[in-house]
Amino acid sequence: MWRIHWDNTTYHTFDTQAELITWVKDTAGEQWYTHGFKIEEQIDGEWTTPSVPTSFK
Amino acid sequence: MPLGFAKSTFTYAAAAATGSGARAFFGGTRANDGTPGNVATYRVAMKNDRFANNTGITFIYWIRYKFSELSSNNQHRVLTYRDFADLGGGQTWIGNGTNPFAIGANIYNGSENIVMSIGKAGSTYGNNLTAAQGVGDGSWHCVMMRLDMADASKRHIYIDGEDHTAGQTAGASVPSTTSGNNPKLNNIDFIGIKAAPGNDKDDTRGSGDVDGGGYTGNNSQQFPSADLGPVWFYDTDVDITSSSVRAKYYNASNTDGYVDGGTDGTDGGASQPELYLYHNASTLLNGGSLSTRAPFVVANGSGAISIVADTDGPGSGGTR
Repeated sequence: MWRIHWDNTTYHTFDTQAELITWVKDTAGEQWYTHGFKIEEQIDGEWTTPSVPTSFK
Repeated sequence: MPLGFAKSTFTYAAAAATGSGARAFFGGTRANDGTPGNVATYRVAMKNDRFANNTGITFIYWIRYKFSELSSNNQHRVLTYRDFADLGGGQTWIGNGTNPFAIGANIYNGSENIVMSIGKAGSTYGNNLTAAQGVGDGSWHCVMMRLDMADASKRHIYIDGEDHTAGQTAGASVPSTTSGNNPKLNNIDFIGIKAAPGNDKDDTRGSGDVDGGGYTGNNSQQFPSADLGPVWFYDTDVDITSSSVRAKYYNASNTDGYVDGGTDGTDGGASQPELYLYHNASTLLNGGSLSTRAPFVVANGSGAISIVADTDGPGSGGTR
């Protein structure tokens, strides 16, 4: 599971990293970088820094 | 004496000369119409040296633009400091205020994105929209930004020596470890001066291809109409909250407030930055401490760099 804390206000949770990337692109397009956010991955039941980075390229 | 940069065709921009300042450049048309158009700008590849993997960056740049020339609903990139994989660094931009954060900057490290923007209540330019309008008055302005990923108290924007830091910084602080969440400044592959033309996007290039990857798929993020330069870029926190530090870059007693950095950025008393990008009579040069490839032009169509003469650059009092 993946989640993103978007604009430091709301969490959005996804089954996969790819789904998260799609959501960000759909939500903010090329200007995703103007939004503050933090991405986490659920590993062993704990939300933590993802095992792999996420690129919106 | 450095120059700034701006327009297409290799001609000197028409100048309303009231004095002698630095040179600058612009690239391409004066219209930011969201098409690749005939535009050009520079990119600096970090081939030989890399930024240190510190938690913060600071940049100071001189810019002149007209708000009426900004395209709607877009952030025009002033500087892009990125890696090819898009997992480190960020960009600083100016928008027309229809989006939040009209003048701002970010750092993204692969999992966390921090953003800061202008909009301090009571400052000269007020909120986002009025800030973009106010700075876009066709005169030269000095923008100073420092952005620290590990310390939210070290995120500031000054324009013409005045604090415009908004309470709008976004993103939590993250540890400054070398293996965990950090800005990964040492991964930055290139510095784009304004956004490269949209057609320059090339996803196939990697870090070994030092010239490639202007990286923006959005032509509207180009900023051909901006006259720009010189630029100081540090891979450390420079305490721009100190008036004595700001005075090394901006002095209200000078024309436009311009303080000449010379050929290495230090003539006004500043420390030599990692990159100091200034224009001479023919091209952009790096007088910073890091060894880079020579700044090179990326262009689309018939776009070409146009030099803003020192009689019209920052410190000249010239306007558009």
